[in-house]
Amino acid sequence: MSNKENNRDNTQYLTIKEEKAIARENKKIMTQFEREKNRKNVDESEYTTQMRNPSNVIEFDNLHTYFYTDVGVNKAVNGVSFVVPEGKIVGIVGESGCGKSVTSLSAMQLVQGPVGQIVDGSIRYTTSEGKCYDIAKMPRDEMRRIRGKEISMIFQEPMTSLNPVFKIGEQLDEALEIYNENLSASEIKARSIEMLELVGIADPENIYSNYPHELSGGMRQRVMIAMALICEPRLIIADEPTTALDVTIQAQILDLLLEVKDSIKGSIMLITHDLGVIANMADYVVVMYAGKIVEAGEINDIFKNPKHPYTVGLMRSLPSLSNIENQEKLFSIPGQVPNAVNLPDYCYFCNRCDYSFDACYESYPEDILFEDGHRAACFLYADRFKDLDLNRPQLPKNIASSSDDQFARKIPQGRVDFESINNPKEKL
Amino acid sequence: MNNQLYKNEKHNLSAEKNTKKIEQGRLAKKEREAVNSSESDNFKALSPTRMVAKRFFRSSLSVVGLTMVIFVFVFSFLGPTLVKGIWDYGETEVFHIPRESQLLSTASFEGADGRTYEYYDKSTSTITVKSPPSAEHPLGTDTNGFDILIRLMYGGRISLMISFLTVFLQLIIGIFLGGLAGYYGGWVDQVIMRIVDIFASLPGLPILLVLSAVIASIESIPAEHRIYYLMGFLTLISWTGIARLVRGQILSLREQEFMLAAETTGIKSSRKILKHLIPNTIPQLIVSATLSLGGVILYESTLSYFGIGVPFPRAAWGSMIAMADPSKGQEILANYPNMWLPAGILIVITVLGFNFVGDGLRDAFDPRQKR
Amino acid sequence: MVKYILKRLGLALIILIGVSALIYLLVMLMPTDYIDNQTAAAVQSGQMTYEDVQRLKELYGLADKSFTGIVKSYYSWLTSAIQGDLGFSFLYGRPVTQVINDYVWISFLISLIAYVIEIIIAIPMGIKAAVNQYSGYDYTVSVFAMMATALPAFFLAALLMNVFSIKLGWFPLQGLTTATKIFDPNDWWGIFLDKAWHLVLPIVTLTLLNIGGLMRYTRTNMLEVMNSDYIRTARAKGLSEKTVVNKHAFRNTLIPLVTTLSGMLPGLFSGAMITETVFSLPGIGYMALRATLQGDIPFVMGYNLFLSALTIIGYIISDIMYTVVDPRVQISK
Repeated sequence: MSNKENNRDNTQYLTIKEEKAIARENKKIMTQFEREKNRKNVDESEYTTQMRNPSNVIEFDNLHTYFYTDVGVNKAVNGVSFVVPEGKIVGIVGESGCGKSVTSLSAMQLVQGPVGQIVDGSIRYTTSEGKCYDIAKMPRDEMRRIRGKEISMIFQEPMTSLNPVFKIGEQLDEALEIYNENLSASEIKARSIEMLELVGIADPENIYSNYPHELSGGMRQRVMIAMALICEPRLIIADEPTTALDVTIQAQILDLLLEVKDSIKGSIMLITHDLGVIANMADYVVVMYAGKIVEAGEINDIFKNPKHPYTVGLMRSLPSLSNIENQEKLFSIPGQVPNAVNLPDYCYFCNRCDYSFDACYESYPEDILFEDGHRAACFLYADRFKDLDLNRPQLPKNIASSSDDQFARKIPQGRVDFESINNPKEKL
Repeated sequence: MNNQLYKNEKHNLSAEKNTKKIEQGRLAKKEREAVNSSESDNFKALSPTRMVAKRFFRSSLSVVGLTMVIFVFVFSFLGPTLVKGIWDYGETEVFHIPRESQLLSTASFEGADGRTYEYYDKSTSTITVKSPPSAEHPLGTDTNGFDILIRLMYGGRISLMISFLTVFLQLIIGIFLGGLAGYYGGWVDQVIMRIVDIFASLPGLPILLVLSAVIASIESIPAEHRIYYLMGFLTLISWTGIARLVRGQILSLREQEFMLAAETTGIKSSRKILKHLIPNTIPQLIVSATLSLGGVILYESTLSYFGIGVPFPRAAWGSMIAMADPSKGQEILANYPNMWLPAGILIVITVLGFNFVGDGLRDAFDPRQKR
Repeated sequence: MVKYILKRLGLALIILIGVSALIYLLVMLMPTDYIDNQTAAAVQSGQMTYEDVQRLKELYGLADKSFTGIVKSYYSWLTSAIQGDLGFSFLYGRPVTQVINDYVWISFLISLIAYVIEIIIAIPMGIKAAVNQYSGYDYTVSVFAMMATALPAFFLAALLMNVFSIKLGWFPLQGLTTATKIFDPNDWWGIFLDKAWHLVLPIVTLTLLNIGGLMRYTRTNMLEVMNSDYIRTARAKGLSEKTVVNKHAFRNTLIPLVTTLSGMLPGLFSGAMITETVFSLPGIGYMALRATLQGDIPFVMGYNLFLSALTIIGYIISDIMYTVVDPRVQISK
């Protein structure tokens, strides 16, 4: 082996010594965070804050959630800011591993500790009692009161998300009991059965005394939804609620979500990699890539006029009838999401991007606000490159038109100030 | 390289120049891509063996375990050669080191006259064995006048040899029978697995005792050969674990897609087992074999403790501890820890070493290991 | 359920017969047996002839060591064993079943106490280690558990005896009763205390030997459970960490624990051969060792069969417990 190769070897692989140094450093940081979170009797003022816009249910502001792994710090969520307005559905899309789930778990403080930690930023949330808390700074004991009652979560895997050794009824009752100590056992049971009925389970009394393994995947997901809704939370986080289900059930579950959302007057944060689901459900879309938001805005703006090459790529990779008519190959974005441990200091997408130019390799693009109100982080639209004759992405005609029909839905009434949460200094 | 242009002259650029620049940029991008892809793709793409080695050495417990095992190996294999070469003695060299031993006994009893008498007896004798630790014999000598340190070395040698050969035999039998059962299934599987059940239901230690007692009492078998029989017996009662493991692995691997792929290419069944299935079970086998090394050492030392393992005058750790058996008198247990304590510590070090290494290997092989 | 158990028992019987045949073959291959040992002196001094010895062996079915001879004598042994007659122990001069019954209870007592202590200590420690994974506590517990599994019983016993009997003099060294003391037969409390005093070190030895394995087993299972999705769901409901661990996680960890621990129950009767021998306790293990070393074939056969039966019953119990504890498992066969 030549000397040159040897050198390269050293730069690419971490030696055991280096890994151990990282591990030691991580341990220090992790213990500090854990200690912070485990404190008892913390003064409420420490984590009380003010919403930027009172009509929002939750505001993510410059959220950073890192995983301290032995090969380095994995920046799973790396500066994410968006809001969920009251009564609306916000869809979060992106490839797997882009930080969607971690963002949602951060809102519940359920990131797998001690490795995963919310490092920076804030998650502002107003409780039904009108108090505004910063979830990112809440001690663990206090956070418990938020979970289930204020924010609840529906997970991706209905098959493994229910405890196999407890009956469905027990698991539902338990969720209710925590916050309703004054209810009698029979009242709780009645409420649970009512809930099961609400989520469209035909024989609720029977299902109440069944074990999870006796139900099908779709049924279990309904139970999960019932469990998430039983305390009437103001925000429901649905983390790929239909991915593990087959297509016919998917539609039923999504419809159900829409229905129950209205019945409890909640908001939904819908995480998915399926643009079709988003198109049918969401009022707003947040597109994430490698731990950052690359584009965000109202559903119609994003679908009709996507700006970021990544969003365009995602849309083009949707199968449509015209593809078949024109005998086109289904588009796919080349390459993979970059390793979140060694992120470059320039645009994360540029090496997969057909439209990248030199500036993309210099620094990370700032957010750019468009007239229609949506934002994208891409140099193609930066003022200083306005005059450059750049090859800016366009949705192919057939997709743009077909998406019109495919995604046709009512335009939300009254524009909510979706961008108020953007990094102020980036605001144009 | 081109950023200067954008920053200072972007308004002056003509459209033509502009496209040129962009094209240059594209080229530069391609170059960068080439570098980037080789870097980012290789970031984690260590060869599997190196990956395992790296994960193994990352854990401090496995490094400690490996150190322990290496220490025991050097001690038991290099040690005797060294001692033989320099001081020229072995495990059965008798050293008579005379020393004075004073036996003091007192008793008080009431005499016939009603007075209490003190009985006081002091006897001095010269003994030549059980000498305390000294410069020549760091751990002293035992009841036979053998040097304890050198016997520890020889004892380790025999223990390690027995355990490695036993595990080797276990692997051969276990892989063969487990492989047959797992691959062919049907009645072959049924028959083999019932045999496995029977052997697994054998009470290990009592059967070993019976067998060893048999061998110990046959005079026509030279003492030298007894340990080979011993290894056979140890294999006999412990091969079933490996067979079950191999069978289970093969059954689960058969279900996987790549086996179907192999089948569609029409590879012969024997080759299928060898080329696809066995290599996939190897990580588990290595782990299980490492862990059973320690188990075999424990069995062997137990047999030696009961006097039916490695025959006298050969040294074995178990029989060295047996000298402290209080049934034969408390003297050694109470006053001569140098005779039994080191042997016990060595057993613990060896078994612990193998267990640490085995655990470390399991974690290193396990691809689910995230941390 | 009944059908399932019957089927398992039938299979167990087949295995048991196989095991007994194997053991019989091995035991018959013993070149020396109790008769040889006992008569050696008599033959030497001319009191008995070689023919006498042979007659004696024929009487016990030990004379014919050819294959057919072994098969024949195995058959006769098996038929009487099925009727509950395991033969007559040479060494102890009583029926084998009676000898087993006489000595098995003290073994059971020691093992049972050690078993209970193990469970009480190991399970909470294993759970705590798993919940605080990678903490100092976790490392300490893991290393201690590994050390305990690496200790040979006789060495641990020697260490304990050296420290607690000889150096400190807290506990007696060996045996079950103090030979130098004479107790009033009515002083049952005194006798009980004396015996209990003698049993402390053996119980400590047994507990320490097995506690490591149980601790590691608990920890591994608990870790697996703690990383599963339903624990995250439980947390998402707003349950306190205590409820999550003690109810949701523990109930799932119990499945492997209960099946394994219940499978160990029959084994409590098998006697701890090494520990009993080192401490000279008149338990079944110690008796069996003596019988084995002296070639008492009927007893060795009976004891080994007893052990195999216990092992197989253990398997069956743990299978049945599995269906009881885990709602997902149903008897399909």
